[in-house]
Amino acid sequence: MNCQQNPAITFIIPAYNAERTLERTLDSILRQTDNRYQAVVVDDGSVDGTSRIGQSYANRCPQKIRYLYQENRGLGGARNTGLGLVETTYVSFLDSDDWLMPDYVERILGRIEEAGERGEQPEIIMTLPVIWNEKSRVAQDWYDRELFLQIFPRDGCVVNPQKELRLYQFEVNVCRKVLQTAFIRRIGFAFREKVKWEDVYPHFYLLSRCRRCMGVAVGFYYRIGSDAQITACTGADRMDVFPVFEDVAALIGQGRDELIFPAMRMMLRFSFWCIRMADMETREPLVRGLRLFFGNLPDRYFRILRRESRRQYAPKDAAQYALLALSLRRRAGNLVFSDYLWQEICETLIKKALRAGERTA
Amino acid sequence: MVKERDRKLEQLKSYLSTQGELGNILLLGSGRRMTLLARYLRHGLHAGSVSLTAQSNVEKLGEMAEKQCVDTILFDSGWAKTVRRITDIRVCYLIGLLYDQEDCFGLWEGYRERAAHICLIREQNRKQRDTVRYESLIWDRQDSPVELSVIVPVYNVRQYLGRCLESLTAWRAPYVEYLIVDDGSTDGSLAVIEEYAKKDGRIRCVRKENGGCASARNRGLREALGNYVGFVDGDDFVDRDMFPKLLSRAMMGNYELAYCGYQTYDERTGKAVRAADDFMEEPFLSGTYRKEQVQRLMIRTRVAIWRCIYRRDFLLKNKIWFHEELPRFDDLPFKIESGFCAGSAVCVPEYLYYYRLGRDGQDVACRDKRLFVHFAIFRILDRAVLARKDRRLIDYLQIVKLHTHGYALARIDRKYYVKYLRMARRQLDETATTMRTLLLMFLYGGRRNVGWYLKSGMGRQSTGSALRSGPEEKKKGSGEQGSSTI
Repeated sequence: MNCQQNPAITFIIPAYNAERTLERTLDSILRQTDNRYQAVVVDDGSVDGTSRIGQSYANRCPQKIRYLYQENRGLGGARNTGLGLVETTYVSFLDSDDWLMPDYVERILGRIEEAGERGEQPEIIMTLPVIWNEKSRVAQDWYDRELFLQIFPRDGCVVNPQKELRLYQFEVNVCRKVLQTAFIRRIGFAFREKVKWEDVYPHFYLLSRCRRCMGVAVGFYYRIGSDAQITACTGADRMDVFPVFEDVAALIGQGRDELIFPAMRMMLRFSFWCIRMADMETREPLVRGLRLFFGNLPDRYFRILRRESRRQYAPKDAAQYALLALSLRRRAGNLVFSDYLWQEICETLIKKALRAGERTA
Repeated sequence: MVKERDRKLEQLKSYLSTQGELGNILLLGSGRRMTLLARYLRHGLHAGSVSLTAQSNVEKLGEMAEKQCVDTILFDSGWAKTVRRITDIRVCYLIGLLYDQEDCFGLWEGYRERAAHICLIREQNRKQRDTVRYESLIWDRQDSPVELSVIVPVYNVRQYLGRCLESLTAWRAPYVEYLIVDDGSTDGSLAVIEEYAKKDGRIRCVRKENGGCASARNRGLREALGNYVGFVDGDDFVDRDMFPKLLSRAMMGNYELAYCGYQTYDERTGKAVRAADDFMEEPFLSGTYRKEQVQRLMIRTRVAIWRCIYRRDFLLKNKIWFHEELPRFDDLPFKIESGFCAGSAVCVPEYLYYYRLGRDGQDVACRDKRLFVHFAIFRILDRAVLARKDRRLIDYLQIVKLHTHGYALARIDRKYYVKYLRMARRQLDETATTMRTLLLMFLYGGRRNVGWYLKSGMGRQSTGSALRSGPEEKKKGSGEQGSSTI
């Protein structure tokens, strides 16, 4: 064991009313096969037993775990607080209901050292999480597993995101990225506070500044299927997509044309998902807002989206993106989204038409 | 691209990562997967000694396990039979992989007293899509040994009770309890229950003041200890295999709801007929974890809450109880509330419950103003569903309303027909427009309700002139509907 060595990676764990899951998260950190880590639990104004758990772990292993409490500032705020305290060369985020694979630190640091000997210190390390479904209690493949293994066929591959643009198509989750502290200090990175979906913009921002991105097929367990997640909310929180989308639009407006396609693709998928999840009261304002937002984007973006999706995807998928973009931008198209029933009927009809098209082809 | 072999390893690793110290591990199996796993476990910090063996002689295995003070048995696909035959060994963990056809539940039964934690992961080959899916039975020993509580509300059914209890207790498993709730019977049902309780320790007799079926079921639910609960009516009976099959299917995959088919048993002729309303099809045969699919199932099946078992923590978490304020049909809101909250469901494709028809005094046989209780029921459900702000659920409930009111209209006495029709229409109009309701009928089924629904609309405009001719026209339709409804 590397007990005496200096820590090389810090885990920032924002915790808000996480008494039911925090122990598993912290246990998984303490059980790492490599000791060169630290963890900071940022208690974001919890009112349950989170502080007791955090405090007791910090007392038990003061070298490994720090605990601090702050008034509620939201997930982004808590992560920013944690970022300010980082002293190690690498930093990673971990949510309080997820947990790590036992060889996470060992494998990541091992690959970083190897890359360091080659002289290419990675700025971002992409990991490959595994989904743990709380309902069925089995593990599932991470959403972009296939793509990940295509881009990083073996552990420790380093690619340049400015050349390998498929990297932008990864799931936006920020916890699956290990970041070089010097890199984020250099580009002055911080999370936007008081919004939900704060992962979205950083995904594009970080990748767009990065030159060396490494892939390691180890990760954390991402818990789904419990109703307490942010991603499961249906109400007014959904409206937070707008500031997030504005940020992304501003980023791609800075002459970063290569970002247009992945960003547009992500925003369309995200909008579609939000509409489906939104409840009766939120649905209409959400759809209206999305029409205004997408209506304000230059037509060029949509042309690029059409061209690139036709180039990269099967005709069926490309047609879906085109249709989606069209119906979101037009007032008449909005009718379809105003009610789940119309949407469902349209989807069925379109699917039937596509299948008929396939058969004749 | 990703080999299935690695996926299996992934499943094991995922479970292991959620657990604490594994102690001394005995690995059963051979091949690359187990070698990799052994290396992984030896390297990790939370294991004692790890020994890998492909020994298939059961006695030698038992000796080996004893000598090494094994805390955890971990086995590969194909080893379930061997593991099951190892006797006289107590472990902390039993973890293993199984092929599609291997008997998972039997293994759990064999080890439930000898292991504190059991995790069995079985692959499920799905023919239609040519894919493999995994299901797991993850179980930790609780304070109470009861896994399943069968709740039987009893009110004056003495002559049928014997058959009911015989059929239930034919399954000899020790981890089931039968909660017989006597709702203040006056015909000596209590004596029958007590007689059976003396013979079978798993029967618990609960006595209470008469308070209706709902209160009896609630009482049973409050007293239940099992992880799963089922309901059986005191005048019905079950197949011997019903509860073992439902329980094993539900536990394998942690389903919140498992159901099977049922047969109607005619009291007068003694014949059992399979109910057409079975829904034994995909995705429910493989099991689903998608809320919409479970909700959709609820609008297509009849009330029949006794054909299901429910995970108790799910009922408690969602605060699903029977509504004691309702004089009858309290199972309808229970079914809808549980079905609309459930996140997973699975089907056992057999007809295992016998539903007795033709007995005197059954609520389902009523044809008079007692049917008006439906309006109270849907007032309760409307309130519950509107609070969830989900248009889809409101529409689904609309379909349930249409079915229920259609059923009531088909059997209600002529003198109540017009009043019921008018009230039904008023209630339907509260949650959806005419156009929408018609559209829903065509999309989600229930087209045979179009007739009375449109008729009620006409009545609304011309103050009942069309309605007055209602009952006569209805006669013709009621013949068809009546035969298909029950």
